[in-house]
Amino acid sequence: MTALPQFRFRLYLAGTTENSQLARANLTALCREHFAGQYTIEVINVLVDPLRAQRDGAFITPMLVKHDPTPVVRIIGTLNDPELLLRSLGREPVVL
Amino acid sequence: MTPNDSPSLEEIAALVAMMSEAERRLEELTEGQTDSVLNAEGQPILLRRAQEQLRLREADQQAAILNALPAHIALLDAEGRIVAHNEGWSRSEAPSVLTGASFPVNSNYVDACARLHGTAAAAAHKAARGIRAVLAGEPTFTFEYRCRVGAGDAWFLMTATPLSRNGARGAVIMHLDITARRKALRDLRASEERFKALFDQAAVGVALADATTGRFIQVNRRFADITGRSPEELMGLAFAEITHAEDLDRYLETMQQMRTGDIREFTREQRYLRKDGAAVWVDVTVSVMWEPTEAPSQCSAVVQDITGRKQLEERIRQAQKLDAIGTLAGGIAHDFNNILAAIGGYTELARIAVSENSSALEDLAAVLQAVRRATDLVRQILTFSRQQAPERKAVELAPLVHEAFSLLRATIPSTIDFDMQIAPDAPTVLADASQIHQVLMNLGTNAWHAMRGQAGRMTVTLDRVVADVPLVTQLPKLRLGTYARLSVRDTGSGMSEDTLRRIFEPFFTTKKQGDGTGLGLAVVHGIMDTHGGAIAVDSTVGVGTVFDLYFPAITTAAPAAAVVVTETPRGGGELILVVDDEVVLARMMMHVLTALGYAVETANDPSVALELVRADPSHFSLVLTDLTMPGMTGLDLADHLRELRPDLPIMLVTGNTDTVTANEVAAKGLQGVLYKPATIHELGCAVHAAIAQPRR
Repeated sequence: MTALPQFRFRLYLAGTTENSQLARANLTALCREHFAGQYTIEVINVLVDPLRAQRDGAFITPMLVKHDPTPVVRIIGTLNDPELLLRSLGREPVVL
Repeated sequence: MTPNDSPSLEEIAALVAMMSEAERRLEELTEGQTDSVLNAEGQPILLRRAQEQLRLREADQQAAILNALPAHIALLDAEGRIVAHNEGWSRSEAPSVLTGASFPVNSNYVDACARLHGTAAAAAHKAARGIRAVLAGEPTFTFEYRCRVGAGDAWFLMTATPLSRNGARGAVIMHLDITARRKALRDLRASEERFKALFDQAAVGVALADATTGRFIQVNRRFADITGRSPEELMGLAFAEITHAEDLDRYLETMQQMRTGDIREFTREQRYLRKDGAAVWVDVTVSVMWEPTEAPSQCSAVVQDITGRKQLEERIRQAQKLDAIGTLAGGIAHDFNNILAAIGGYTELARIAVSENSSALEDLAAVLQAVRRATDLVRQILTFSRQQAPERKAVELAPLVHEAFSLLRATIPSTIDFDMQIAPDAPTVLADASQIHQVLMNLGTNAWHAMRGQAGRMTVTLDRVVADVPLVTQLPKLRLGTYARLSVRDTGSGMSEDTLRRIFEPFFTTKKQGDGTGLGLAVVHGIMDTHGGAIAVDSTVGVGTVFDLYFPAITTAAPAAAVVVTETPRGGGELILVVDDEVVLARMMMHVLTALGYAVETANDPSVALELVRADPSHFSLVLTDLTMPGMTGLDLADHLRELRPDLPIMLVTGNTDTVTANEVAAKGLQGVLYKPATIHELGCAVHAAIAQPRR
């Protein structure tokens, strides 16, 4: 039995602005539904820690970066289209 | 600043246009889903939409806070115009006349206030002046005003706070409804005043003190009065400093138990020391006042002065002691009386029997003399034990005082000055003249003894006093009303408190053995008791003593009947039945009555007497019966005899005057009562009178 792959996300956002909060809510909902038990999300507020954002190459908010599993994927926006998002992250939506 | 005609202006315009275009294109590419970008230095730049969102949200939050405040708030510009206000300001139910929809945004609030007329004009004008001052640079202006709201009044607090906005002066105006707060404050003050009045005017002493040091924090007037100090003096003292030395250890121990929490409250009787050094008895209740989770910080004491009660208790104890001694002595005296009666009676008989020239006659006279002295002593004991009923008649005390005074003056050495003051309105009293005479002689003799070996003055005064509440409190035996006061004052050695406590005890004396019997004042006490009066004594060592005797006044005086008897009447052979359980006394009575010319039969048992009369009811001319006999009292026997013969003359003989009075005897229809010991003359008179009385 092979272990399920671990998803490691970083979400860059700008404080409590609307799009950033939408992105955060959408990501959390998606992970709970599709990556239950196999994900970690690190949230970086660029208004608080701009140097970290610069170092990571996050030039706009909100931006999602998937580090694991490789390849690294970057997605900009509110993450409001789950199907598109799943495809981008390398997982097809499950159709019952 | 770059001049308009500068060639760089075009470049600036081009860059701004590029920025604008860049942001538009970004929005387009991300479908408006981004909110910030990071520039080349890594600094985040919020996009315009995000900036607007944040600004609006912040404004919303501030407005929510302002609207939630229970106050009417407006922001004024430098001219006094309303720039903005919270919802409370314009709410239709806003009760203040200085807020509401009539003061909208953009209107000049200061001018509007200054122009206001009507009942709130004064407040409005004052508000306008205050706000103008604040706008001119003065600090915050605050004032409270009242205005009519519906049927009642409401109170408001207005504050005008200076505000500097973006370099421009302004002010924040706030009106706060403080009606409830003011009412609460007023109620609190009223409550405080009520409690202060209760505290100050309480009939008990109240003190608040530090629980650790016992130092007074607050005391009321009564507490200060009880402790004989002013409230200010007490503030520098602690409970321990006013506690009597003999009560101090117990007090300190109890306070320690309170501090450790072993006890919360105690009540006890103890003594405080007044400023003048006098001890005052108090009933005190001390309670600690606990603060939550902390050690006690204060304690309260409620104190009642019980000195008067303590003195009364002491007097009652003394009176009970005197009663007990009196009862004991009286019982002995009563038996002793019977023995004396026998000795005296037989001696008199022996005198009749021996021949006139016998040498025994003189001896018998000496025996009789001794018997008389013993009888007199017994009479005194019976007097203080109140078993000797006084023969009370309406008498004027003045002649008695004169008589006793003359007698004393004749007896007492001339080193003593005499003074007598008799008030003409001294009331008539119901008294036994011979007993009053004895009282005066006893007190006079004592006064003389107190001044023995020195010059002095004895003053006897008689006056009229009306017993009022203080006097009745001091002398509980008195009732409100008129009294004759007889005072005997001397300037002698005086008495200590210990002596004063015991002077009325029989056989207590400070005189040398042989100088006094210790019965004088006991007799005075007994006599005053039977007269329904009272005695007050005031004595100071080295200064002297005064005895005040109070006799209840009577309103109508009846003249006393004088009885003059010359010789002992004799009988004519009438048959007398003598009933006495003591054989010796019965025999003696038989001898005496026979000698007086009567025929006598005796019975030592009441039932035998009853049988004798039943056998022939008309046989006897008189029945002489003892009062106290086993099985049947003399009074019961009399009742039975009367059933056999209603008109049979019956006379009681008794040594105990307390058990039966002359009135009771009369009420029973008896022919009289003879008190033992009686002389042959007294017996002869009484028997003669009883037989001579008309039959019922």
